[in-house]
Amino acid sequence: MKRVISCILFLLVICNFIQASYKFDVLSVEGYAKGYAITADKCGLESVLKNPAGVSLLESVTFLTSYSSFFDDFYQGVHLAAGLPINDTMSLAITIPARVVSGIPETIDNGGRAEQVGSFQDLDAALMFTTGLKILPDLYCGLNTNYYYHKLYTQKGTGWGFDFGFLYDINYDVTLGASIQNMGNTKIKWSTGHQDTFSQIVNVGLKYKWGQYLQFLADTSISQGKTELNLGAEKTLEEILSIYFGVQNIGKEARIGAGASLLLENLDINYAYSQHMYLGSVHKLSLGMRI
Amino acid sequence: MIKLIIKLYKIISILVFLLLLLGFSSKADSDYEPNTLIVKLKASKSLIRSQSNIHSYHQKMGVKELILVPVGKNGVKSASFGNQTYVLKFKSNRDMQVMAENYKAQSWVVSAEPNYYVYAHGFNDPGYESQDYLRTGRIKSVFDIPERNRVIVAVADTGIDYNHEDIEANIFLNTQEQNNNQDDDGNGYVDDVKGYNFYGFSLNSAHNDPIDEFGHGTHLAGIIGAKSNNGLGIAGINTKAQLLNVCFLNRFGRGNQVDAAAAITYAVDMGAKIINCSWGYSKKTSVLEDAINYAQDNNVVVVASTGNDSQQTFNYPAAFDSVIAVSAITNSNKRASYASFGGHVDFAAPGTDVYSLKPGNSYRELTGTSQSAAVVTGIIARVLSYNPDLTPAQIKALLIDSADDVMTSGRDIYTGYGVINTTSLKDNLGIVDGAQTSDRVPVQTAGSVVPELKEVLNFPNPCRSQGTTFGFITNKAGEVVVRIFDMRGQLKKTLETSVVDGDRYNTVFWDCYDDANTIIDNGTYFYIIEYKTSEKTLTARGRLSVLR
Repeated sequence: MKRVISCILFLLVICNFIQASYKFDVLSVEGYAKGYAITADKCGLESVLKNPAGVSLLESVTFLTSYSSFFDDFYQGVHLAAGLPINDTMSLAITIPARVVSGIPETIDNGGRAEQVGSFQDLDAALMFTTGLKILPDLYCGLNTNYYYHKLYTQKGTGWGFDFGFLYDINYDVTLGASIQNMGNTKIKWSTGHQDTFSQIVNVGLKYKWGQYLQFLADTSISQGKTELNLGAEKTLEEILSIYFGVQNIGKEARIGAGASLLLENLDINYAYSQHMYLGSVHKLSLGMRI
Repeated sequence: MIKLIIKLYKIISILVFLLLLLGFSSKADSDYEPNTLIVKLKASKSLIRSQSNIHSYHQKMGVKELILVPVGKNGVKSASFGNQTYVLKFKSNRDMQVMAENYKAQSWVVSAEPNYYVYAHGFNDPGYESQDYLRTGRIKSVFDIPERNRVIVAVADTGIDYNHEDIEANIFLNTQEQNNNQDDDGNGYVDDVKGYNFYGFSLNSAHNDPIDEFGHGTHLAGIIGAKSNNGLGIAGINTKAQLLNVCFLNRFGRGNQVDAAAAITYAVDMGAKIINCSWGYSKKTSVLEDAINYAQDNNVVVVASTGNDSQQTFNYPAAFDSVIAVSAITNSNKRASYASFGGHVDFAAPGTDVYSLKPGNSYRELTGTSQSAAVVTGIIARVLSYNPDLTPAQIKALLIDSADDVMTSGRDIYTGYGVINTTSLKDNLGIVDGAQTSDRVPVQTAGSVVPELKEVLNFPNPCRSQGTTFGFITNKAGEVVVRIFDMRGQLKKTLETSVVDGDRYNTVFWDCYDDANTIIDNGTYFYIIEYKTSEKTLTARGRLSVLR
């Protein structure tokens, strides 16, 4: 145990900090509040953002939807997700995140001066299929198969991407998680002929339960030799109420987030908030239902 | 009900009419104090006896107050009546020109005049604060040389942006020509209404649009003769110059000596009194020399820059004897290291960070002997505006007499006779200090301006591989930071620039590379423009898209 923690801490220390590129952070509310330190978290359908192995822990048919307002409502995002446990060892999930930026001014150069000639919108969406497997009683894995669709101005970009991850319960209190996002790099091909490449991200994280009502999360995202360090915490106040706190990308551009969950019988209501130093506030709200 | 509607309609119509009337009347541009008349009375004993009649007349005219003006010996307030000057204040809006005529018709009145405004000798051009070469140093008193005539000044260069807001009014228009595809004035050039473009003359492809595609000529034209006191841009040295746009350099600033000679000859034929030549080459042709001689024979002053190669170089036309060759000094009156030098140098003038016009209603600083030559051209234009009878030889002699040594005593190869001191020049022209009322707009001080940040947009948007430019208007000196973020709020790039006083459109270019020097992906990004002045910080934000 000590050796594992030491290895993770060593990784965190030796690496430079990066800002990892999660293409669709609209689909996470609880994870957003936890500073995205969720590689080792068992957060159900939200797991698909960083570690699809979390889907394997679904115990019932689950639906999840969220709405996000970014930067004083500068743009909005929504997502819909559904999860289905096939049997004791396998679960499937489908997730559709989308974000749209409307009213982007279309401008031209008019003698060295901007002249607005219209406006356009940017629609970015994806279709994500997730398969979760329980390999051993304390080892889980998952695979995302993602189709990306991006429409900007009059052009379209499409591409395929794959994420793989696993979770390992070292003991009752400690869980280790690891994942690879954009395996082999994700390429988005545009109708203009241009191609964008999203680099592979390796996430390594740890969850530590401290007693019955408190847990700590830490993970690091490594991409192109640089690292982002995230920390999060969850405190259960009552059986039905939890609060979250997290810091994403510890360093000079850290983002602090907070949130809460109300856990009703078959219904989860999550809220997350963050304040950007320059761009303003982010509000996220999700509604989950188990059948 | 219908009656009520009609009644309301009438009331609203009357109100709108009154408001319009008020609006129009408030826009009326008067150059004297409203409702105030200066009346000088005759010195006459009989006048004392008719005091009551005079007072009755004042009452009839609507005078509410009389103020005795203490002017001269008889101006002191005394019990005696007559030979005194009064300021009459009227009760309501009156036309003071009409009132002056009414009073003049009275037998007891010597004179009756509106109380005309006077103004400090300054500029309301917002960019004037950035024109260090005019505000400080030896040429700051150039504006004390009165402008009496409009002088045609040819800018033989890359053309002039004749639509530029700060120079449009001073572009020479050939009134003998019309845009009708005919050579109306018979000068051999069709439709040369706003000058002519001689680039390609030697290839028979010259044409009549001398628009500036490079920016060099527009900058020089602004130094020489940008419109002043128009609340825009900068102050030209000769604010009433008629700028003859003679283009012969292409959009890369390149031309040839045949085209140059044609341009110079054209300028002479069109009546230019001065030709600014901020270009040159170390080899000469007889055709260029002939053109310069033609100018000299027609009493046209040719001013040329010495070049910017930091060496002893004889560039032509600067090195021709009859041409006034101008080298550069810095704003601290030191020899500019970039300036070419040699025995042909006549004068040096400020050439470092000279603030002037940029095509597209923009402004910028440029450095070089080109700018120095334009400064001297502007001074000569001002001199000729005051005294159009001076010959080129007399002008050069005047300038030599007015020059201050900034290096060794006497003529030297770096600054020639030195830097023209416009205070000495004014004295040598025999101009006596006195009140001048030509600059009629009050001085606008930067301190009274409330900072504004407006018209924030990037262009083009979406931007492609060529990058994008952030454009915005500021009105006061300050620092501007542009921060660009991706959709997650991660900072991708920070750009910084400074802005100067005055309402101006600023631009900041971004090549679409992030701070790690990696080209950014297709998508939408956010930017925040932060404008910091000494008073407050303003921000504006926008969205931009990259689509390659």
